[in-house]
Amino acid sequence: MPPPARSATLAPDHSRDGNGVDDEMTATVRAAPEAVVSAVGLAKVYGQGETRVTALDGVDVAFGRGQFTAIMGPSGSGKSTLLHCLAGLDTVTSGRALIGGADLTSMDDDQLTRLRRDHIGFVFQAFNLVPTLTALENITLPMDVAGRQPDRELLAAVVDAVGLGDRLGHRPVELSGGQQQRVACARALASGPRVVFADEPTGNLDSRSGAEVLGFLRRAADEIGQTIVMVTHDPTAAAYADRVVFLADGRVVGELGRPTADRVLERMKRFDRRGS
Amino acid sequence: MRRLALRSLAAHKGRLAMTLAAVCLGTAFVAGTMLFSASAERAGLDTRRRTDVALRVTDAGDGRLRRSAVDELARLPGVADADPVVSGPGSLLGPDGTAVDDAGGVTSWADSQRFALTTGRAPAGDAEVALSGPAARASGARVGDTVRLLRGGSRHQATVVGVYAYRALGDEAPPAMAFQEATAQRLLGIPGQVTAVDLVAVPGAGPADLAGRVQAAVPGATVIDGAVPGATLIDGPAANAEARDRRVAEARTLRTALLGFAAIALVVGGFVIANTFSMLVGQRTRELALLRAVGLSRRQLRRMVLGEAAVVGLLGGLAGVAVGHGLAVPAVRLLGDQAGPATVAVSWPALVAPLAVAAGVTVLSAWAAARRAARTPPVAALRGQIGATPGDTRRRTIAGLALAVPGIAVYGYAALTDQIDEQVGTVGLGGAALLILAVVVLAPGLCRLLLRPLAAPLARLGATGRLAAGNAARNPRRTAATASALMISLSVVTGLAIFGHSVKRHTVAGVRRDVAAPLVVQPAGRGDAAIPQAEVEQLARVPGVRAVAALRYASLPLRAGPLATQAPATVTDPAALGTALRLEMVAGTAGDLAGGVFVSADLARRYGVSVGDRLTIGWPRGGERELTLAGVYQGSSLVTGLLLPQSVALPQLEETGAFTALVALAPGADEAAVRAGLERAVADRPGLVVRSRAEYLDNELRGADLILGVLYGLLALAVVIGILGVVNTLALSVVERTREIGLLRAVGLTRGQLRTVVRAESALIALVGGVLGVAGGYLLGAMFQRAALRTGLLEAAVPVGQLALALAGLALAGVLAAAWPARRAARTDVLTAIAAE
Repeated sequence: MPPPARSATLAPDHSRDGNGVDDEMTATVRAAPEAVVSAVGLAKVYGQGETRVTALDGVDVAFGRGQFTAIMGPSGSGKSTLLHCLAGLDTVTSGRALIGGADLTSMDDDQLTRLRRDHIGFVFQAFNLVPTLTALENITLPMDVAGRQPDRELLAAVVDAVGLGDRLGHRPVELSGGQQQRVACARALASGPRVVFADEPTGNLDSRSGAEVLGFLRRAADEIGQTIVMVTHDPTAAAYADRVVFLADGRVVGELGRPTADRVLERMKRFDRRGS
Repeated sequence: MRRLALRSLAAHKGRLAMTLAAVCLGTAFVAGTMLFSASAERAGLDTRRRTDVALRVTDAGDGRLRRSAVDELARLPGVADADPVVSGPGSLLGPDGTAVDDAGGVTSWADSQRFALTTGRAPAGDAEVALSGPAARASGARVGDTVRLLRGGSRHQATVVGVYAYRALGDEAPPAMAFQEATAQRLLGIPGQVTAVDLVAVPGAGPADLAGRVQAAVPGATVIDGAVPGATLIDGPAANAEARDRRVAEARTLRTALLGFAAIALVVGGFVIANTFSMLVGQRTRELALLRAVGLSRRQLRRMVLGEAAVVGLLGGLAGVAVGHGLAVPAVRLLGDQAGPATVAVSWPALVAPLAVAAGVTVLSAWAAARRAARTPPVAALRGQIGATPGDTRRRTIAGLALAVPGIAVYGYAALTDQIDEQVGTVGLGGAALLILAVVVLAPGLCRLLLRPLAAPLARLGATGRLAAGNAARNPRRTAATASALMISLSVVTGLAIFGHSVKRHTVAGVRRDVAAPLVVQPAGRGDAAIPQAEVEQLARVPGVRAVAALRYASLPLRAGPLATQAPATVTDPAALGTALRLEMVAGTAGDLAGGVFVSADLARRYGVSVGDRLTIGWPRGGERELTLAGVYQGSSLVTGLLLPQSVALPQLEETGAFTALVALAPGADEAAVRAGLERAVADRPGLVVRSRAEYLDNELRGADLILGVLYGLLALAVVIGILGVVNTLALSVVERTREIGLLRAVGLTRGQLRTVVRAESALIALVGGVLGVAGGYLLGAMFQRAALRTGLLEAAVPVGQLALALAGLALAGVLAAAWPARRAARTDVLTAIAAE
């Protein structure tokens, strides 16, 4: 596990190395890149006394630049909690959550809000889009909210990748579930965030739409070197990632590079057997 | 069933807070009105009056009778007792030397039913006075104090020896000071004379018997020494009954008017209630579907929702009755008689009726929501679609047009016809009401149309502005219902503002045109007595006065050919035309009044009469008189209807007091000197004031402003309820949009930005209601002023500045209304919101 990276600023960083875009081998090339997101001894405890539940129990993990990581684990393993803590949506009981070297645990609500707005992209399982805004307005929402002009090139590339064509001016209700999730991914990417967090982005989709969304994320990692952290329970989805981190009972219990669906499934079975 | 309804209420009690407040306020208005009017009615019935007087004899001429008449009258058969009464003006002065408010009138003490001593004793010496309870309270004088009074321009002193409660006969104004008879005569400057004789009948004799005998005695003028010819006989019991009836009728008229305003508040509240229940039902789709799935019938679901509404209505109603009672108590204390303030007359109808109204309005308003709840398909439990409302816009459009078309037709007719009068005006106002109703029905579509231009400035706020505009437009029906509540209240306010503004402009123009006199003498306030003819003549005798046009008003039966109607009439002195009062003649010349009667232009048009016609005018004191229509003039707020010369009409009127006396100056007279002279002449009549023409105009306008102010105050409640509706809609919307708010916070909307979104949405809704309300109000106000002033529709004076200010204020109120919902939205926890089902 790589140690927390040297400190980096939170300024938007568009100076990506144009060369990480070539083939499947890049995953290994990036096996130890500088960490964009990391958790250090991260613990999260809900409730007190009798009802005390430890969701995260000292998690140490780092996600390198340009890496597409899947977090897997059985229900209750703490994978969603980890995502929420790393994304500044939830508070941490102890330990540190770092994005680009900045410690989220020391930020107040306004600072966290700004961090989410400017440096983090989100894709949730459902209800990702504001129903009153068009697809395009949804995509540019974080920038609009910040009062910032979008990076035209990046926006054009992202919008093009969504493949909505003339439906960009439509409201979410007029789009299919898969289209909606692709728009959500585009929104997450369009502001050029340091990291995109995706929480079961294909959980509500049929397999074909799911594949389209995952392919979209994959291309983002490949073509623009986007760092992506995705929580999923679907081995097929995890197979799109460069790396899979396995969580159980609030701890990191394993890791897999260059995953395939079969290998992931096999690992999962092993954990299940070990756990039982 | 019942348990379900109650549990559901308990679960949503937070969301019902605004609805409860709306019901409570509307009910408070109803309850307060009913309690107050019932108390006023009771106070009118309970006011202690003289019951022993069968007949009061006064003189119609100078108002005086010889003292000897008392004995003559006492000797008449059937008369048990004849009490002399000496009454006249005079005012009690406070410690600071100025007249004490509402403490005027000098009278003679008598050991009769007129006086009931509360403390002290009757005045016996020449410098002793007894004060009425209110006068003592207002001046702060107590038994043993020395008080001063002003009478006939000179000051007098007297020692207070007693305080009394006065029992009036009929509508007689209770005098503030009572002296020995001789002292009263001396103060009033009528030694050896009385102003009235009260006759007490022997058992078995009634007022009619006595009246017959008094009248029979009149031909033998020697008996009564010529004082009684022209005597006015007042039937005591009848006068009391009349006074009582008048008080009751006034209380009932007031009740009707106030209930009208309460109805507006209730209608506005109805929109708030309807919206709340509609939103609650929408939010509970899953729960309702589940209930359907487990076997509740549609009927049961409908009853459950209506049951909830009934409970909300009753709870709000109970609170409203309590609040209304609280409001009525201080108001009722202003009523009452000499013995003390009135108390609240708590009656079952005044308590139960508002409750029934509250429950009824709430259930009715929730009806549509209940029906929608009953239509929830059981399968919705699985789909869990929240707040999806199928819009049957076509039916709405048809219904809206069905209202709008006759509305336009009727309104257009009333706007264009040249036969404008009250009836046509009422029809026109009905047309305006139909149109406003049509706007309510068509509101969702209209909202969509209006939101675009109104939201345009929000674009400058960027994403937050866009979000706010989107939220306002998202559910046009909800926005429309919320805006409609505001619209209705604002329509009435705007209509009133336009009407008031038009009336004021009309008044100004009329006064500038008609009042030639530089000075005006008037009763100072509304309660002050009018100027009797004797005082008018006194004014005319002031040096430097050329003519006095005293204006009296009456309503007289009028016949002209086939026409038979009750016509408004003004009575004045023809000699003052041109100098004090200027008339704009349409036909004939002002000098012709002495020989006939004038008619205002709009009455002439309405009645179809013209110069040369013979008009038969009926007199209040009986009889009638045929007069030639000698001229047609342009009416104003000062001179209206028939214009009659006072030499013909004055002796025939019941109410001969003038409310305005226009004083013209002789050539070369100094205005300041004449004014001083007039002020000296009215010095002992604190109820009268001398005003310059400009002051007079100011005062007229101030009066209009005062009335408008009271009406605005009454309407403010409806506006407040409308704004509560905005709070309500926003609060429920925020609850409904929890997930969306969570999403927005997750992608980086700050709390401040989120608050801006809610505030901007609120201001937008308020503005939509405001714009529609101003439009509706214009329809109402323009027609109202047209009917009242007989002008064209477009001549309505629109107080543009005021209305713009009102709209800006409404937008601000919208922002303030959003405070609580915005805080709630900003406090939304991102994670729970995202996780929320």
